[in-house]
Amino acid sequence: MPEPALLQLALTDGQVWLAIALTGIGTFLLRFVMFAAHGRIQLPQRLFDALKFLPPAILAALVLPAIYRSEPSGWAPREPAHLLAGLLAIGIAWRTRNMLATILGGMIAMWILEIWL
Amino acid sequence: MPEQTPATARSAFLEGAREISVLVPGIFPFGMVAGISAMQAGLTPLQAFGGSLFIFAGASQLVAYELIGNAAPVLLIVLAALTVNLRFLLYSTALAPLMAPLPLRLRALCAYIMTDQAYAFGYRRWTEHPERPFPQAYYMGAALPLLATWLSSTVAGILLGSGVPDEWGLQFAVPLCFIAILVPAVKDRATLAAALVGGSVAIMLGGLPWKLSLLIGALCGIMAGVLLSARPTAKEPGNA
Repeated sequence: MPEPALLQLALTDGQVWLAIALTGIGTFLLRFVMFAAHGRIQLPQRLFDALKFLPPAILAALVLPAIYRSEPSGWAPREPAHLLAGLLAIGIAWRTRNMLATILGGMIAMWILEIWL
Repeated sequence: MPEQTPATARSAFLEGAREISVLVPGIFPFGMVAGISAMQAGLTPLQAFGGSLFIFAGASQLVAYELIGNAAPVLLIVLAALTVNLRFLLYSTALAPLMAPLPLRLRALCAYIMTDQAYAFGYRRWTEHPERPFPQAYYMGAALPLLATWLSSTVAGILLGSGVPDEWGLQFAVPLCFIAILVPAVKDRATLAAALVGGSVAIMLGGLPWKLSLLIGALCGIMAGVLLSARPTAKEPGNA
């Protein structure tokens, strides 16, 4: 995707470490805060209910654009092999609930389809 | 007391390790994908390993690496990765009473090794078999092998990452990992709506820089799920 030209093209080593460190600390705190609070903090029920929808919502927001990469000018998928292999992988995941089968099946389907299409 | 009840913390730990071991063959390629995509995003091998050690949360690592590859601002990388990991607040809340008797240091360890899988296994045994002793040891037994798997598979991915030609299209393994986690997370109409709305909005906003489409899509998906679950139709059986 085109990015404003004034911005840097790659992060420095220090910036990458900073991103890793801050993400690591933040992730640990998300895991630890309720253990440490000992019942003194209560999540508002509405936040608790909303968070239940975070995994399907954010994972789909990662998956669908990655397999359905439309042309910037329209809606046609740019790489039909990715779309078809992705849909097949969804089917495999649905039937098997197996990560290895999903990754292998999707990759093999994508390789075959790229040769074929 | 049934005979198979573990008598010691050690046997409960081993019970957890034994039961989680079926997941290791699936986690290993996921970790390799994390190592490979870190290398392809331009991280050094040490940074790639540090990511798995310090963050230890696969989906958020993949998101962070993609944004690092796009040279997104550091704060935005952290925000996107932490959004993916907000679900740990749920697990932390659910497991807090289980961890309460432990000293703070052990609670910190149990927090660090928390994963979707360790939470699911630990919570299930604790709530469905409250009579079985040492649920905390069981949880640790389930969680620690996944940390070992994650770190070793990351190293395998790092070693492979620099050698794999681009034409193999190994970046495609990243969405495949997400698919394998997404599909089991869709359990009913409301979660399906959250997924469909989140994904569609993210596609429509695909032109925005730095994957802002991810955060906006996720927010819209959550709202769709909340709206749909707040107004259950007559056909939807009421479940907790």
